[in-house]
Amino acid sequence: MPCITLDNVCYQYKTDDRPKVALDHASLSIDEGQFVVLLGSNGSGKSTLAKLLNGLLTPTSGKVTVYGDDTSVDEDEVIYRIRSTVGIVFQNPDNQMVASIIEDDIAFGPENLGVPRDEMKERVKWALESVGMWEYRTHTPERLSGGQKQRIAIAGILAMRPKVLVLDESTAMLDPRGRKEVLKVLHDLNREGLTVILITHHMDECIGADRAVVLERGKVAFDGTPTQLFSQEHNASSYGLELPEVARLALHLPSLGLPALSDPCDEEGLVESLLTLPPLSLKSAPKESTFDETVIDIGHLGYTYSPKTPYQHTALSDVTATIPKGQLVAVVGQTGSGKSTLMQHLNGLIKKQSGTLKVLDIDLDRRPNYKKLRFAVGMVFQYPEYQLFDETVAKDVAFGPCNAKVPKEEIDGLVRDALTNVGLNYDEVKDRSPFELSGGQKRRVALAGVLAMRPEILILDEPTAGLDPMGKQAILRLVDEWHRTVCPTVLMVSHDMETVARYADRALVLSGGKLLYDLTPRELFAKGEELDELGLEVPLAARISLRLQQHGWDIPVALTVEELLGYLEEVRHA
Amino acid sequence: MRNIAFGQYYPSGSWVHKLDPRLKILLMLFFVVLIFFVNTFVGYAFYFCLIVVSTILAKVPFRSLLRSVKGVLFLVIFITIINVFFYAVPEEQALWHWWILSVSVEGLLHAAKMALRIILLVMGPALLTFSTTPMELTDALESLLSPLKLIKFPVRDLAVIMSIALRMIPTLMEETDRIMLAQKARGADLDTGRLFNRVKALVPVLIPLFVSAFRRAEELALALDSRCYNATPNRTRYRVLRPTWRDLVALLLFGAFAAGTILSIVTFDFDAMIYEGIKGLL
Repeated sequence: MPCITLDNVCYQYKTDDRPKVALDHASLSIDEGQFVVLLGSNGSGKSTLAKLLNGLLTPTSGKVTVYGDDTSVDEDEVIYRIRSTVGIVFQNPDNQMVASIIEDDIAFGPENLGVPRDEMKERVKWALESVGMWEYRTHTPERLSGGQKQRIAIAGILAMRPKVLVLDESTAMLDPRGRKEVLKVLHDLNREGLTVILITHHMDECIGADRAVVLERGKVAFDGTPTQLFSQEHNASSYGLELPEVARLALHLPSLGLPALSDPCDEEGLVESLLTLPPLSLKSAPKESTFDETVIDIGHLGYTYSPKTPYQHTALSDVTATIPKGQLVAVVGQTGSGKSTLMQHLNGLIKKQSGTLKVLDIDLDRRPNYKKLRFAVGMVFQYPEYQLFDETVAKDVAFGPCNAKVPKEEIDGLVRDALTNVGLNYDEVKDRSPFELSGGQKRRVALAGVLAMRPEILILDEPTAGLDPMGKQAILRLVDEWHRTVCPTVLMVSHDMETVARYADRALVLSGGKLLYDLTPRELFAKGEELDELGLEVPLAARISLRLQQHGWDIPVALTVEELLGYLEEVRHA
Repeated sequence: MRNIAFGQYYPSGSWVHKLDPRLKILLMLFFVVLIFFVNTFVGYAFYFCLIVVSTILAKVPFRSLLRSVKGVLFLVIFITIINVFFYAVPEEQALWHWWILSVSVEGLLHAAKMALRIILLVMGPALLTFSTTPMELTDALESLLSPLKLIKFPVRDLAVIMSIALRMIPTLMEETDRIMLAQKARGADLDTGRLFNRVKALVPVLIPLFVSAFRRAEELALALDSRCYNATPNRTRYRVLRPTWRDLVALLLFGAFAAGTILSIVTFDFDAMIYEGIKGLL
């Protein structure tokens, strides 16, 4: 039975100059109990659609019906019936909480609906138990992880007993562990009968869903099962989406003379299929580059926040590492592992407490010149676009060089180079306000702001967080290019192991303030299941090559799907 | 920096912490109003007894209480000095006299009283915030102000606004920290320089902070709508404040204190005795 139907829906945003079409004759009917994943790149109309589903927006033309109610009807009773039937969870959990105590926050919806108190208590308990957060009910949200906060936001909606749950990019800001937590909760709820509509740009979230819908420029471009979506490889990438790695590999099976899989996301089936090939022996391991000139020397570094108070917290203990010039180093670890503390030591934002630290020729023990250090070590924080402030892009990018007292006549050149390096056209953007740019462009401007200081070392804290797959790949390609040209030494904090495998020369793994591993990605991922306990997921290519090794294949641990395919090609030649 | 957000709440879970926050607010109001009628040392002695007893019952360290006084120390010293030197007495009673300044026993005693009054004015409410969370205070205010609903005053909205503000303060603080670090990383100088330059240096922090606050507000507004805010005028409440026997005991104790204080004001004139005593010694 359809619970929500969209019938020829159009929606236009009214802007100053010309109306912007967000949805263009979209029709869709969602059945009760379905798990629907709604995909599309930025600007495809996904978020508009979400807001149409519970009447936060009403269509410009066409009709949205929720359990028989037309969302355009302007009657309070109907409006609130629709809103409590179709609950929406938004992107940033911090912006959805209204009370400082979790249970009070969960109760907010039922309070608004006038639910009697005894029932309300039951609902709060049920909602928190459904997302596995009951034991946190008296906590404040500050200390929770992103995944936990988003589960709280889901519970806040569940307490209104909705029949449909819509998630508007609710996984976009989460790290892989947080995304997993949230997806598990969603699948559990769906099994209990809740209709789930998950809006995302991560195609791998389709795995296990009943249905995938792809929006493209306001139109429904695809509507079918995830398996169908994955099997049409060319289509998927033309929507600005990225196939999950397992599907990309599975689609190559026929070219190896193996039968195609019925479900291209079935990793087990994929491995079994590959094992029917004769075992391969490859002697030549890919060679690793060598580096000599040390630019960062960390010795027994330790740091404690608020020492000698009840809030005392050791963030780093006994970290020793040297980083040579020209390496792209991935810094990996869960939230609270000490990554940020370590990074902020390197440009002097945190003053060293114990141990030794030498960055370039600056010894942090000998009354260092912090200003000089900060210009030599460029640091890009997470979501750097949130620090843009000036009237024009050019002025904002020039902020760093101006602080460095670079002569006026040189600044223009630096700004032009920096904007070119981030792939923007200097003449087009220089006089525009940074606030009127798109999300991806803002991120690039912010990166340019740091590059313009001509740093010798670049530190990036999750430069791709929150971007759609296209944006993410574009930024990573830029980073790789800077690494090979303007700024050879790069430290990049990342939660995404596929990124680490593909781009890093080396990985530092931190856990609980200690440096656990300091290895090349190939050595690191060869550890296989050991990494699971740290919440690090071994990338698919490495996982599969480890499985093949167990079955007598003598191949190196592949870091990328392309590399693994290269090995498999060898089988065909042999 | 982050500790400001939760006020000065000291979670000891004591008997005082468990009192009905409405009662605590009302008693505090009475405490503050009454202090303006107290002008004898005996009265202040009563007040100090109350503060000491409540602090012990609340299991709050005296250190924290003194720290709250430290914030107004400058004011206390300033007012004391003014009162000592400008207390007008006939010249022959003054211990010391120069131009329009004079020091007298009356002046000294008066200054001492003023200082005590300010200290008590700070300690009382401080004790309230040590033993009551901002959320409890919000709930209590909403309940105490609820009669105003009769004249269409939006009490509920006010309470939700306060609740959201309390919820957002730590988030915005964290955001401020982050933006400051990011701008420092670009070489911004936020801690040194002359006042004008320092204010100017804050622009790169304040603008992103405002932009982010508006962005958050937009999403919050959508979230409030999605959670059916204003769906019904017959809103129910998850947290209900109910007075217990503890509140009765507290009320009786406070009543005893208030009665003692008022009696001391109207009946005995210990202050005159103290005054005469000091005069005699001199």
